[in-house]
Amino acid sequence: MSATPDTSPGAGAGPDTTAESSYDELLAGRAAAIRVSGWGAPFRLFQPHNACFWVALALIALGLWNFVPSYVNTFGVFAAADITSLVTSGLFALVFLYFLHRSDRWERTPGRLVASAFVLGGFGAAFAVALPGNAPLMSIYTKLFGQAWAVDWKAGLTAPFVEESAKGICFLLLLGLAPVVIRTAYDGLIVGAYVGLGFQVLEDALYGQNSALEKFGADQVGNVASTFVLRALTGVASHALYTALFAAGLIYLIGTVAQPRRVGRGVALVLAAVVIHGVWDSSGAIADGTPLVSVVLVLTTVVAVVVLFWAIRVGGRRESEFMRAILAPEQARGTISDVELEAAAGHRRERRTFLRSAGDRATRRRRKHILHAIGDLAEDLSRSGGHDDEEVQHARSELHRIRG
Amino acid sequence: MSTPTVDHARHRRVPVEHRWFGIDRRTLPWAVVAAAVWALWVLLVPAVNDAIAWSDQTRPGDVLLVAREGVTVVPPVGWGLQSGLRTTDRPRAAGGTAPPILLGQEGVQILVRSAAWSGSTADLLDSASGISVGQAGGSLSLGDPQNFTTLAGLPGLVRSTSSPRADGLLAAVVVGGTGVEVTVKGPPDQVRATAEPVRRMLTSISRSGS
Repeated sequence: MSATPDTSPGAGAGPDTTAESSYDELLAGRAAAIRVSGWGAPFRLFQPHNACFWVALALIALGLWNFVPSYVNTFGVFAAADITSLVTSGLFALVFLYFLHRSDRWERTPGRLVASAFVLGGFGAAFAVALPGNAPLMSIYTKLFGQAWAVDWKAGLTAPFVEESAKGICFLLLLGLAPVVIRTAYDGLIVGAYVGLGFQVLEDALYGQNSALEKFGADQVGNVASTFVLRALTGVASHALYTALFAAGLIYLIGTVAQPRRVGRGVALVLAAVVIHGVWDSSGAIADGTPLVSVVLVLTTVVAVVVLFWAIRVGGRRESEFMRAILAPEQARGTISDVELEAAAGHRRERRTFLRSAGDRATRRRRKHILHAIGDLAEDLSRSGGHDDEEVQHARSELHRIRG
Repeated sequence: MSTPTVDHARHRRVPVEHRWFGIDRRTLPWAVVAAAVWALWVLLVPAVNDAIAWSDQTRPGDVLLVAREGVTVVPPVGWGLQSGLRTTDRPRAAGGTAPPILLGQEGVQILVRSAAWSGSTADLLDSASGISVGQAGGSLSLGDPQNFTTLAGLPGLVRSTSSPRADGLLAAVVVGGTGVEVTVKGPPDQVRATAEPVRRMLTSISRSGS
């Protein structure tokens, strides 16, 4: 495969020679965007020289050590509950995976990183840290403040600290393993959400078995299904959301070459994750045991969604800038139009405006395909370092083909 | 602490000045933070918990809430109440199910759980027995079920349990539409020594007004 620098604006429908110097500037901007953003960088989990790899491996092993016996020993008794929770948790995960895949619209997160985040969140955070960590802290609360107080507040004052920090360290380990791939707050939102999703699915599997145990093993399918319906209805405020906020907050707190440090914003996002989680888990006590608990849950969900959309909005700005810089030379050479660049590099609103302005259904579908093809081109350009290799040329030819 | 920028996915060899027993020292900060948080929750907090003694002991006159439907039990006096509400407790979150009752003394633990149950007492004991055997990995042997009657006139079933490390009993009572399961386990000598207070507790299961 050849990889020659694309310094020839005359190739194809490029700009005229008077614009050559500005085109060179655009190419330099693209190269800088790729270098700073880390887009197109590969991810490999197996990194024996990286201390984060060994700690991550240890957490996954410890998690499996705790997870397997609890399922193997009781599988005969809770087979129906286990299978039902596997199916329902899988459905829950599929819905979230679809949502996350759609949200991952600028730089596409490498599949191996997604899988690592899911496994580390599920086995590492949930079963190596949270499961053994929650009970002792709850026990301390009970000893210090009494049974009635503990019934009200121990969950809300345990899970947000133990579980958010557990998922937070999993994200930090992934940051140590993929420092070039994870560079912006938006990367934090996406990778953090995958860590949280892994945690959620494995926790739901445990809850499924617990709900069967609490009902003395009767009607296991019905009990697990009803738990699933409840969690699906209230699923927006879930671990995927909490961890997305927490991880984005960590990126702002730490700062990277692509994301300047913003301590205030970072603290706000980390606190938002902890507080939303805590209020959700203490909703019964906050509502003073009245039916107002539904109001508390709805308000918490609304606040959670507002904070998430704000985080996506401000976090996406950096990604949008990178996308614009990477595609700008393509606009200059006429591969894509101004409005296509706006739609591809902009937020959801710009994309929606571009699609809705299509006159008919067929045009709208073609525009969707064009945006996907532009995404492919940006990905190939990032991977090639901005050079014109076979994949980049193929991506451009695909755009021409779709336009007919 | 700054973000590590070492791209081990691209470069396999660690620069010599950063190498330490084959590990890249620049990757240590996040690994150390992660290990420290793990140690905090899994080693330190449990140690603190172990260091704090249970000060909540059952007193004469205590009545514990088994189920929100008004099912109660009278605990033996002087045992540590590790989980469970007294009928005099008034948590803010009054709805939901009652938390399980967990009492402990000298290695013996009594666990009382409740849930809606539409079957018979024998069905409840069978189901609870199956779960206990499953959780013990098949190493739990069960005695024959014996009938007993609570002071409130409720029929119950109880059977002894035995495993390589602990003896105990498993009891079931159905109160209206609520199933109550009582599990006792501990060192064989201690279980024998506490047999009488445990028997009194079992027979104290009742429902408000009965």
